[in-house]
Amino acid sequence: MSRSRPLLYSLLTVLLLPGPIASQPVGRPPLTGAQVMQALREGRGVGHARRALQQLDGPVSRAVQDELADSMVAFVRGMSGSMARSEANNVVTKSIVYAIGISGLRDQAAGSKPYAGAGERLFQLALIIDRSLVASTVYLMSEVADRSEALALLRRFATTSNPVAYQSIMHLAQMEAVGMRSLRSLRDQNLVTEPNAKRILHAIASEQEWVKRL
Amino acid sequence: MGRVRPVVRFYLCLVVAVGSAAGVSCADAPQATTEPLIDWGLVARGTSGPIDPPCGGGAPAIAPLGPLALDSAAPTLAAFDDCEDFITLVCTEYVAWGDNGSCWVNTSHIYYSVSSWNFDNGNPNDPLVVSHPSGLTWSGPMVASGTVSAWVTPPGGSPIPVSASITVGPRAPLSWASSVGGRKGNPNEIDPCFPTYGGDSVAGGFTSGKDCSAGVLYQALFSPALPNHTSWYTTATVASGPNKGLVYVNSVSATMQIRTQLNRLFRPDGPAFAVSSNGQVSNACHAVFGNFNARTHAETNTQCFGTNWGYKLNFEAFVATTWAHEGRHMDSALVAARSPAGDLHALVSPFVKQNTTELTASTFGAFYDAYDHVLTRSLSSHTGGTDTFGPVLRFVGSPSSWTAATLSVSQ
Repeated sequence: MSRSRPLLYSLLTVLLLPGPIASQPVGRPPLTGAQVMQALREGRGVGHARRALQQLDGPVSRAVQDELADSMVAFVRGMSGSMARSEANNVVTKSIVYAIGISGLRDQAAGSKPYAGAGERLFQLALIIDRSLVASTVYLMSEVADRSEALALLRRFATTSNPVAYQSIMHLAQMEAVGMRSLRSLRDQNLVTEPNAKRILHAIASEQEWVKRL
Repeated sequence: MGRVRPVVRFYLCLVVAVGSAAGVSCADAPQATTEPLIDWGLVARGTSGPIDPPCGGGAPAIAPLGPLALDSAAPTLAAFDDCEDFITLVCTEYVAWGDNGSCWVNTSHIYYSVSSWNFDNGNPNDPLVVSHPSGLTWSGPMVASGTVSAWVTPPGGSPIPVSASITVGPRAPLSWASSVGGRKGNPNEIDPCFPTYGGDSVAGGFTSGKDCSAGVLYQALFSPALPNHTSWYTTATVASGPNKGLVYVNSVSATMQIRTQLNRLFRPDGPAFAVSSNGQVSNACHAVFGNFNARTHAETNTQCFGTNWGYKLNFEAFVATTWAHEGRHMDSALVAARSPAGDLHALVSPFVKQNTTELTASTFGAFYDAYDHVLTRSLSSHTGGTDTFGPVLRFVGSPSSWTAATLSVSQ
């Protein structure tokens, strides 16, 4: 340690004053969707909603969780046109995607419980957000705690015309037998229409010998 | 200057007066002292001896206990010229990413206790919060900026909050630009990944990552092909201090090595087909090779007929156009991978998360977003339209035979 530290102490002591006195959080009332919307409108972010979805500040009813998540989806839906595609809004959208996505992960950090409504909200988001964020949204959808829900969501998304629908096919193919069965039925029923998704599904079908190989 | 409440100040003065051998009260404190510096660290350890009151001009502030105090001369608080007691949280104002940051409570009196240290990055969209139970100092490696706060409790008093900010410099940017590359594939490279369409329709060329494989990974671009296949980054957890427990990406090893390839069917190392199915082909090849051995598409088109019928010219044009087409896919992929939205190293290296779960979700999400960006840009090298080459000889049909046909390459 340098001998000059006392001087540094003195300078810092003078320059860095204590911040304002903060009050300790005590027994806050449950967050509401309106508050979340207001916070988003004011650029204050979704940290509090995210904690509520993960039940990190105590138990939160499913109804309240749904209200919070729906308000976040509604906020994204409310951004239209070029505004929705702006970099600043992409940051907000990304934070919403991850707030909901992380709350739904089956592998949760200590003290947190998966939010069971995450998958459906991620699905809705994937259909309306900027292309640059869809792939990670689909990934988070594939990781929701309820595997059968993940399967159903991926299957639904694979049948959309979204240009990232192909990522659903990729994730389904990684879900082993149950995913492959789903892919086969998608192919048999000709439900996949997006060209890239169709291409990948065909490649899988060829490899699985659902079709004649050359 | 953050003043403590009057009731607290009075109490502290009383304690100091009692503890001072000279019996100097706060009210009597001189405005300028010439007293030698006192080893406040020793005082904090309870050694007896004369103690200056902590108020009055030039009165020393409390040196932090523990390692920070061991080799320090007692710091002084310049221009502290009245009898006010103080509690200040002092933090390293700026640290380079990964360097140590320190915070300590600077008080006018040694009998304060510090509890409930907290760090908060203040980002409601990506919150990072760390808590620490006690101690007069809090220091350790810093990877995230934020505000450190502490609750300081005077003897018998109520906790008083103090806070200070630490700014962490940006991490040296990582980039995979030097790990990204591509070239024409050698024979057999990415061959198993070629899409098959059934019937006589085949892809003339293909572009993919070197680690592609049949099926879902047939157009894998990155290595590893999927984020959960092998570890492509290492993580580290901050061991101590205000960022203790935060998890970050330590290093990234993912790469992208693109290969372009011509369908083996049209390469010189491709499969050979019996010439007997077509008398004209059979005779022509026999005239050149002196036997009726099976021939590849390359041999049949470029050698058996010489320059007659245009087979050689058309086939070579098809091959050259296909390589060029795939080369455009590769070039587009490389440009995309080196752009901010495609540079996987750059995307994940700033990640600092509360726990491994969140870090994994973020890095894997970034992997898929980057993949989509690169794939999209790579595919967008199609400009529309089709170049058609013919006649060329192909071994097609059912039963298959050598037939004059056309080959197409989309532009």
